[in-house]
Amino acid sequence: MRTSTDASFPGEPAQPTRDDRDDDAWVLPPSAGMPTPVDNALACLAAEAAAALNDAVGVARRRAHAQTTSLHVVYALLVSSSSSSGGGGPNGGESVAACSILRDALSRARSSAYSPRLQFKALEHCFGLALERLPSASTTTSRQAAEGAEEPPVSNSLMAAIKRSQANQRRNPDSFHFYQQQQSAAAPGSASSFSGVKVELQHLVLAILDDPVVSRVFGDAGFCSTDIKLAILRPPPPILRFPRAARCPPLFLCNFSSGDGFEATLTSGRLVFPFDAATQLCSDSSEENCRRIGEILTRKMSGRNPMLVGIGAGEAARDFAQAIKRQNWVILPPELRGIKFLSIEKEVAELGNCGFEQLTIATQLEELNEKPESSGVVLNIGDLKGIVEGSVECHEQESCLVLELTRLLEVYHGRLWLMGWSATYETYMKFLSKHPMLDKDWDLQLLPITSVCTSIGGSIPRSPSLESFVPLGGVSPTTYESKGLFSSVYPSMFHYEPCYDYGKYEHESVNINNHPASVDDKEYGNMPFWLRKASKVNLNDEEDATKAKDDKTVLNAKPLNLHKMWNDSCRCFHSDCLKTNMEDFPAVCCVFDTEKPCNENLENPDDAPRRKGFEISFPIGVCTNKITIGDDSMSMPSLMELGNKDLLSKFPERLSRSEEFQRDSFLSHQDDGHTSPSSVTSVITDLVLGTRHEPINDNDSPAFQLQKDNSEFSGCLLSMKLQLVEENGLELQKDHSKFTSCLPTSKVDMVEGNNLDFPVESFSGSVHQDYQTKSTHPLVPTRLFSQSSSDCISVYDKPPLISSGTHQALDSSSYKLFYTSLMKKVGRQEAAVSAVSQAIISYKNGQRRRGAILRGDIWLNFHGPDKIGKRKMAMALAEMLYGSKENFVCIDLSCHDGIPHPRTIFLQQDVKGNDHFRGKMNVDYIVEELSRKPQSVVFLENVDKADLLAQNSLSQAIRTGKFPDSHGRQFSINNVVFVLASSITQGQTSDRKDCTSFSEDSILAACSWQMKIHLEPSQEATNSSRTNKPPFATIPKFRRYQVYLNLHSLSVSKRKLNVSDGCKTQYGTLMPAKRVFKTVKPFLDLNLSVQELEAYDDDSTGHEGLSLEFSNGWMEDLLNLVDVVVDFKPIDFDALVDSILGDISNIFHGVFGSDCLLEIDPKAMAEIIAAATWSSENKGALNDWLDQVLGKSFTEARCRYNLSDHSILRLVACENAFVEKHAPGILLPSTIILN
Amino acid sequence: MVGNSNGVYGCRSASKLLEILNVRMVGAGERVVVLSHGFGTDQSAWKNVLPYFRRDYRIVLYDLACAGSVNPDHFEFSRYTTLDAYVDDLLAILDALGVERCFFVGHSFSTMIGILAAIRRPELFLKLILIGASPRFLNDDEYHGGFERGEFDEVFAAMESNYEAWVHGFAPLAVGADVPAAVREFSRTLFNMRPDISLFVSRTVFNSDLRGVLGFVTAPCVIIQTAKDVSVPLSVAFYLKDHLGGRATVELLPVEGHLPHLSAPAALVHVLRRALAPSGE
Repeated sequence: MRTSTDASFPGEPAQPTRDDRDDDAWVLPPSAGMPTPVDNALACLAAEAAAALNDAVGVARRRAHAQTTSLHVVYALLVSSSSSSGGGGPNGGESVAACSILRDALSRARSSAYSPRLQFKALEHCFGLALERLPSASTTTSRQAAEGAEEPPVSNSLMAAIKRSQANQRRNPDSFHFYQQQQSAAAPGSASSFSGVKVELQHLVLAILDDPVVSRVFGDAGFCSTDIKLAILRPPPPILRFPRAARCPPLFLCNFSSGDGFEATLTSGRLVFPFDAATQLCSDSSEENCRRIGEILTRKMSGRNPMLVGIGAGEAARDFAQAIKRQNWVILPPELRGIKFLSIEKEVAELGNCGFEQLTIATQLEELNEKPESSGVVLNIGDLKGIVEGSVECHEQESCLVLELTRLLEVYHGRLWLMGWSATYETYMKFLSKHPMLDKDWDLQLLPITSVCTSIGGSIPRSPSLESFVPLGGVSPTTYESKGLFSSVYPSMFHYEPCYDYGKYEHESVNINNHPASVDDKEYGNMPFWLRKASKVNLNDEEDATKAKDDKTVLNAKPLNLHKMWNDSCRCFHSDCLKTNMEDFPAVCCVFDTEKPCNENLENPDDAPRRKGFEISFPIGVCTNKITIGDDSMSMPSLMELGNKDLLSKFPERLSRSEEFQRDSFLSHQDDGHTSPSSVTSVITDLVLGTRHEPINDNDSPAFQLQKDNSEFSGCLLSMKLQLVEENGLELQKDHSKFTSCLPTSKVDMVEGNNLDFPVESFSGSVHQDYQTKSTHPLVPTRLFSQSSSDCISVYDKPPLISSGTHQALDSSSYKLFYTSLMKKVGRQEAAVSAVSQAIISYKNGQRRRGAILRGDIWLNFHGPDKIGKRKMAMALAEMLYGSKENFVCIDLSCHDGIPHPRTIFLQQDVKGNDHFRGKMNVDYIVEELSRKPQSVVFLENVDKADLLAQNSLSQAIRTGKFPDSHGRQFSINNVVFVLASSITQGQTSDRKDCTSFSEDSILAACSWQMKIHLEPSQEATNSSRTNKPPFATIPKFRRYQVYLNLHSLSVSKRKLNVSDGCKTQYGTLMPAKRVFKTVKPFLDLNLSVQELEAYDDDSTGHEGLSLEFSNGWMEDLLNLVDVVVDFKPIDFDALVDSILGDISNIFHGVFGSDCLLEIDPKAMAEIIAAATWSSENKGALNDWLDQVLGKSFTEARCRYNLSDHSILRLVACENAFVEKHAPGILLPSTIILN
Repeated sequence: MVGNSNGVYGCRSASKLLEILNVRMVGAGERVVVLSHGFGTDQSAWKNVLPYFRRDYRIVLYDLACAGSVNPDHFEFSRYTTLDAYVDDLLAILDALGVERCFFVGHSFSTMIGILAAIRRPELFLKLILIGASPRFLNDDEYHGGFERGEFDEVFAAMESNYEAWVHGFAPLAVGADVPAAVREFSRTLFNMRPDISLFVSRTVFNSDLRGVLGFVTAPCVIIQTAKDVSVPLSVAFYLKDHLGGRATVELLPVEGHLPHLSAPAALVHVLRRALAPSGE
């Protein structure tokens, strides 16, 4: 029989395979082979479900089917729901409610693409078709069925569904209670062959939906049975939002409850009809507040008298009073059942007026004594405001009250509670200050009340369904008949359909959230829905955890990790390397052997003392590390290793030496003491070494090719060897850059010969050229050799560093050329310029000392003040090295995205604004820029304030040559010059302010405002308003004839009169500069708004904290690794100001003669200075501006104003208008407004 | 524990709670920082900020019960009627994790939770860092919270009539700044919330009023306020500063929007680090 049911779906499994853990749910009825008689099945079902089954049986009978299956049940539910409007059906009343479960779920689960009517029709049709395909019973049976004698028995699959739902329901603890009750209520004689759990319709429907046959038909009709289940599980929102009784257990959280503490006030069955049984209705949050008050009251320990504080406190107190009055014990802890509520609120409030009558309380409290069995009294003293704000005469009464209460509390301890409330913290504190220690005496427990209850009802928008139940929420227990109410809510369901389209919503959120869901579905498809969900959550968690772990490793990639990674990659690369290079090994050994004596040669007695003084710094450690790794992975022959070890022991020393040289060369650029004989000898030995190396280089050229492939990391044997050469070269080069003496160029020929042997012809050319231009240098040969050998690598290693033109320029121009062109662009900081050009020339020529790795990235550290200079330098470098300013990436690491100050002159110099990396992390911005322009100068301002990510990335980049972004992806920085700029100067930081009136910051902050000239009111007019203010002075050195700088009038127009007045009077007797500075500062502060001040304060302390935080370790590590440290000197703004004032003065004098005065507002001056510092490479631009723009304005002003003898003209910056049009070549306004 | 330990809530075992609210603990530092997300987001909102703190702090992440990433079945409408239920959750999490002292970083709605938690368990919180905080969203006679009741009704009506449309309108408004990624992210998490929960929670939030209890906060507070925030006017930040019981400072972020951790993470990180730095105390 069973087979006959399922035979129509040959592919379908007869039963869904279930998880074994799901215990008794899947045990088939004892008569496994035979269908169950309808009566037996009905015995397991609750009324509604039984009705549904009856309908289904009816359907089966009409269709003359042999068995009643799940399909019949669903079909019956569907049909009756569509026809039930007429009240038809055998069990009309019940099935209306019953079918509406499914119908309602369907309406929420359906896709919104079609009209509901159409879809339901389609659904019915589908089920109809499915039923058609079911085999009808044998003719005899069908005849019997037609005669109505026998009902088609319940099929095994349907029976299994019933059992499943039974088991589910049994597992649900709250319904367990319910069923016990129900059973006891039920007639004892009811013939129940099963364990007594009556299956609710909802559970039945859920179980049936699990039936694959059913879900397939649903699928045909465009429904997803999972969605429908969800919809059934989640009742529609208006119902859920309906306030329910307190402590209502979570709805479907069988996994959630421990099962002990639940008071089943609601059963899952009633869930769909919450109105029908809910007798206790409270408004939203008041109930929660009451519960909390109750909790405090039931405390055993201290703090058992609640003191409500908060705007809604009064309301909460009233709610609580109401709850007790109405004996709404459900929301209160059981211990409190039967307590009384006594309010002396009124009395307390009228404390000041009519006095306090002790009697009232006392009499009422006597009850407590008389009836010891009563559970207690809560005494509400009401708003503390009444007590606190009482007049003076009632003070006595007040303290009397307090004392009395204290006494009562002691007397009736355990049965008397005190309760009060206050709207604000202040009132409560006032109360406490009036009665200190009262909170201890009264055992008060503060309860912040944060919700304002009344507003809930009020704020509910006009939606019919909400209105329909909100009034219920407040006051009356429902008198509605469940069905009536439900049907009134029911239409509104459709009203809400578009927004509460659960199925869709759920579906989408699943899609978004659980991307592994699709995979899981297969795996867990057989579990009940909630189990599946839980396991999904678990999975996600795990995934998260592993992800987090991964993240961590990436992010915490510290030297150790790097080391390991490097090691690993080395190993895997080398496995290849080893094979191909095997035949080269003897040669290599040879190299090392020959090298050894060379190295020993290198050991000059003179070097030892030098080395002593030099601390071995970090880069060296890294270097040796890497070499060791190389060794390990290569597993060389022992001979080799021996040689290598020797070599290794030498490496640090030699490195330290080169480092030292380098330091020396930068510290004392002019070097004289270092041209010691020892260095010369070392140079000579290296020279020898170089020549001997050369043939080997030739032999190994295939290996070079290999090197090319492995160029990503150059830890290979060959590069190591080359590195040796390079190291020598570097060292020599350093020497060379120091020695500017001219030695005879006797070795030229030899080098030429060598060059001819080089594998790459073009290089010999360029090298040759190089040598010719530098033929004055003594050590050219070796230098050339090492240079060209590393150039070889650079050719294999990477695309040409620079475009051919610049390459040529770089090669052919000497350091001097580079220096002069850089100097021309930067315009100042001679020492820094020369240091930079030296470094660039040497590094671009290929001498790199970064460990065993040949890399193209250069790291410069610009130290000290003069931000503008630093930036200009970096920009100039970009232009000279990579051909255009476009290859300049600038980012301020302290500037955390999107902080807009784009109108400052300083930032306008940038190629682009600084704000296009908003919402991105600094690191990602850098990476993005680098991937767009892999050859560039990256200028990192305020490195010392870099965030953690940037710190990590930079540390990693400087060590490995790969710059990681925030996701751990690495980007090659092979052709990048990193310029780290920080304003920290070693040692001396301050004391610069003394010598300059304009701080660098103020110049940097200068915005390009429009400028304006206006005429001061005549002296007489201002005289009258003159007060005896302490005279302000201009700074003597900024006084040039008739032009002076007013350092005091900062943007406060109200003060301008007085201030300029003061200046005027002071314009003969000037104060010493020092004093002026003292007055300037506080004045500045006064003009700042409070917020600005605060921001300023916070900032300064913050930066202190930050620099404290960041400067430890990381900065030092980074700076130790940097190739070159360049120190910048502060700009002498005074000199600049002076010269500009001089120029202006000349122009002014030329126009106005000697009688008038020009006062320049400091903001305007700062603007001019800022523009001037930027464009100082051609001071012509400023002069042009002065001549043409300012001069012209002066002339115009002279025509326009009626100038008397002592007129004062003022040049100010209008702080409400930005410059719209710049003068050519300089960021200053092209016109000046006359006023 | 001062909070309630009985009732419905007591039935949840701690580990269950940790699981339900997706509590995670990451980072390697000594000091504990709790990141608590705001309305319409979940803990993923902190993802841009998180990497900056992993090294130095142990970070506790969790989802509020109302978040879209929490199974909505666990959202008990009867329980989460006031903020206290959320506070219970937070304190239970911290207890379950054995946290004894921590920094609390909360955003919008969570700032209220943080404030209440700090009132209930002052010893637990070293410092409160409140991003986009407001004790009360509705205007009063003397208080400018930024919203009139009528506006709220409109918002609620809009949420009810078409949640999706509301999300798409509200998200860019809240994010403020022109950062499409942030808008996308916020829309996603906002839409993840079940509409009825979303509506319910926003009612709870807007019906809450913390003004009366601010004085009870003893922990130092840092109020991080963006220059332009649709939900919180600038005056509110200073109201908080004036009324909070502990030492309070206002940090103004020169960025726009209610969700700086999405729209301007680096700027926020800077301030956060400063606020969390030991020297700042």
